[in-house]
Amino acid sequence: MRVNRLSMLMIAYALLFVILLGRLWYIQVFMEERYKVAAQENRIRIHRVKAARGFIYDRGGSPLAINLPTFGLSFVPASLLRNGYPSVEDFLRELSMEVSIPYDEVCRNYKRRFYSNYWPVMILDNLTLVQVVDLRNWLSSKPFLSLEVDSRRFYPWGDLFAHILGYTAEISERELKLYGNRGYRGGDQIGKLGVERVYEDYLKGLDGYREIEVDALGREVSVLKESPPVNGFSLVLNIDRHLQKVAYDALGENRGCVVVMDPKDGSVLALVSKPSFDPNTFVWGIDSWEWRDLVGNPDRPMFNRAVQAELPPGSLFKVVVALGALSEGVVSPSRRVLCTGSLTVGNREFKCWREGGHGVVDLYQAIAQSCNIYFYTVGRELGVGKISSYAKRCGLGIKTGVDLDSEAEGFIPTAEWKKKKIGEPWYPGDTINFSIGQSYLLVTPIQLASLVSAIANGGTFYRPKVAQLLQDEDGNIIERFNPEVYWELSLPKSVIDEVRKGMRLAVSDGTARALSGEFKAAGKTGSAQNPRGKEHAWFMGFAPYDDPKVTIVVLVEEGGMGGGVAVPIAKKILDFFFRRYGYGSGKA
Amino acid sequence: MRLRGLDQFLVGLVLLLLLLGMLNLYSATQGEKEVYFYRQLIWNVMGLIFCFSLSFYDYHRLVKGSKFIYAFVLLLLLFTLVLERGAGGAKRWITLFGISFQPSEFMKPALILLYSRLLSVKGSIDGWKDVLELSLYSLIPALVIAKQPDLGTSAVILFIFFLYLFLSVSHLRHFFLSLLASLGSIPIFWEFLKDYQKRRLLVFLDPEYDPLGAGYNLLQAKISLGAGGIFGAGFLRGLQHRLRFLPEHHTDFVFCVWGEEFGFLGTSLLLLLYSLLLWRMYHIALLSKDKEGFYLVSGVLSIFFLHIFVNVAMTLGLIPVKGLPLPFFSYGGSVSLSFMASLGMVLSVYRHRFLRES
Repeated sequence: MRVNRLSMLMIAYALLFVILLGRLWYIQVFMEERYKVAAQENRIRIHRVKAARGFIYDRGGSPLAINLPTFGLSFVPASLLRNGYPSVEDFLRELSMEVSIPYDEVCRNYKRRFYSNYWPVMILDNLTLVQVVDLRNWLSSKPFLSLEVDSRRFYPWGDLFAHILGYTAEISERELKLYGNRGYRGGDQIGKLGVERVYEDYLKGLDGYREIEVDALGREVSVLKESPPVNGFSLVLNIDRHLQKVAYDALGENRGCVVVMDPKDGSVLALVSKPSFDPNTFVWGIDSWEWRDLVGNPDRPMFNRAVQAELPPGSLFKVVVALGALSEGVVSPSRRVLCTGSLTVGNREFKCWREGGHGVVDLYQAIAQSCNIYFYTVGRELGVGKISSYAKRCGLGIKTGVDLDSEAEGFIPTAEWKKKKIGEPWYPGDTINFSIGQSYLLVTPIQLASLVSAIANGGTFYRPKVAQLLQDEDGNIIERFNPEVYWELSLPKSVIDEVRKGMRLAVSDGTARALSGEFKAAGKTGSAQNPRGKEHAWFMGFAPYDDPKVTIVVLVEEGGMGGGVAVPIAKKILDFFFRRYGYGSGKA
Repeated sequence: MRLRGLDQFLVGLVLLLLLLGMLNLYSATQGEKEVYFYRQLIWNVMGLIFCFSLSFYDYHRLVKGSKFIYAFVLLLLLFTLVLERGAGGAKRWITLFGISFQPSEFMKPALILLYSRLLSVKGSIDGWKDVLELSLYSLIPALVIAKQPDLGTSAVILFIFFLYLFLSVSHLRHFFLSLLASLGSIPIFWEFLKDYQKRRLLVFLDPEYDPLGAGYNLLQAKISLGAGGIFGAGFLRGLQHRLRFLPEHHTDFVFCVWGEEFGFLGTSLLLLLYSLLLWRMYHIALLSKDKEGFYLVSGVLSIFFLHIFVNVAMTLGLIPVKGLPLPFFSYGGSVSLSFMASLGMVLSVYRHRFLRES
């Protein structure tokens, strides 16, 4: 049976081979003349009709990234010979004189954007209408040059949304190698940072084409086939343009960042990192000295502090230690510790930030007053292993997966790690420092935003989402990015509630008093030691206390004590938030 | 124990094809990608060594150990899923000692061995339960490979299943119904895809959908072949690929380079050589005295046929599917090794054809 079956297959295979042979005969013998001509003249060209990149809007529908038309000049290299240029270099030299652009630069563009002799090369781009008018006489004598309408990204708000949006710029050779098979060509624009990069595939669209027949001079004779481009999807963000502006202004001239989130679903309402940069400079061409200025700037404007900065959390970490100590039964809320202003462990003396001490404090007061002695005591009893594991449980040391590029991970130290990497044992003093968020611990602002949101909503870590949905050209919703849970605090509600009480007390009668107001916020201040200068000021909080609608994290680099600088900034932002959205449910 | 040496006819044919393939690759990579020629040379030498070593190894033992081979390759495949995404978003490669290889290519011979084992033990496929069990062994790797995503290789894996089903079912209606059922399930899968995923799949199935990439290649492929005419432009004189019209001319469109330089005479000669290769394997399948050998050779034969047919038909614009590599001609390390290993097994069947399983 099976032998017969194989014979049947062999007959089928043979028949299929005969079809191949017939088709080969058709192409190579019957159509030989036609294809020979096509090969010699290569009369058939495929012109690309670029798809328009999708716009980016804020949650209220205001455009944050749009496209502006520009002009470009392109030519087919193979057509030069027929137009009296012995080599490409001759033409490029003439072009560089005509438009007064250095010959080297023109050559570089040509090399980078060349694909094949029969593909048009966009040799000049970003031309304004005035420049085109100036060139019109010269252009009319060069029929092989074609003027093309192109488009470029424009960010109307300049540096306000720079770290969220990122920017687009000409595709690099490396990216071309990686993504060349997805329809990119040299000279194309591609998203480089921020959501422009993360959502590149959606924003880009699918280019269309026109298959045309050209004459010997490279002019279009007829259209053989045509397929329109499919424009990219538009992206609507969760960001509130007005809130962003207020946060941006509130930070002032400080270096630092602000993250404002909705604790109920992880929507990022505002995200500011300062200093910022103007993404338009990248899109519209940047000089090498401008580039050096940006990259070499010691304040690092390109660095998105909200997701890339890794710093010790300082006293914000006391919240984590408190959660751990309560869950492990190391303390009860009513346990009191005497703070005399210092604690001696071994032969070292560890100080509280307040000279003379806080006197007798319980858990709530310890959080509210940010008493170091209390947490030294509790942290020692908890031990390094437990503190590390609660840090992990609180979502530190893991990426939140926010839809922005280059997110940092942070770092949670353990005794084993120290032994292995530094070669020293974990000293009791390390545990003391660890209890107040120093030693080797590193976190990112976005992790803290996730953590404080989880404390606000009862323990759920929603993935921070900058983007809300995708729309097509007609405004139909293509995809909505639903809330995603990426981590759970998994602690009893009673434990979380005790810590929330302490955070509330910090605002009503503690280090964050400057925040007290109508909206009943809760929070925690912090300052992280900085070996290079003044301490970094931190604040994280949520409001209203009873039914949290918003969470906020503020970082001011070298801002000194958290209560002094960071809290007033948070206050300005929350004041605006509640003026705009009120206390009721739902957002505009 | 009687051994009957090498099948000199098959070995001669393979050496000739390898030689022509290397000449063609030399021309295709002239002036820009010469390194591929030398790399392929190394791959081919390794492949030949592999092939001859396998021909001495009793295939019965390979077939017996097929479950382990299959499980090992499947593990490697699953491993690629865990790896970070590589170039172009695809994750097909595992890099070991600086050499990258694609486990999916080795799934083909592994699956052939496994099916040879299963079917020779089972005898024939009688009911739906058998069909289902048989299909699972290829569905699992096919899904993993599709996830990579490498839909071409995934389709080859499914083809292997249908091939063996066809060879072994008692009632052909089981075969045709399975084929119909799997074709019928396509629209259901389709519904689960998101719009942008559908778009990507459409480009894959129909290059015209993305004419700037694949559509342009297809046009240039036809022009290359047509420009070759009856006698061809001559060795190293194919202008189409040398002037960079024809992208991918060392992999997917390598047949066009041959066609442009050696014309219709060259392409029909090549098809004739391939036909002889397939016919010779058919002959060995009939010679083999047991089911293991028969099934093994039938599988290898069909894999070769599929690759040749799909590659050539694609360059001719007959089928709208993205290319599979052309045996002996296309550049590629893992795929060459996989082909040569398969041939080694066929040679082993020839050599051990009088040796019944003890």
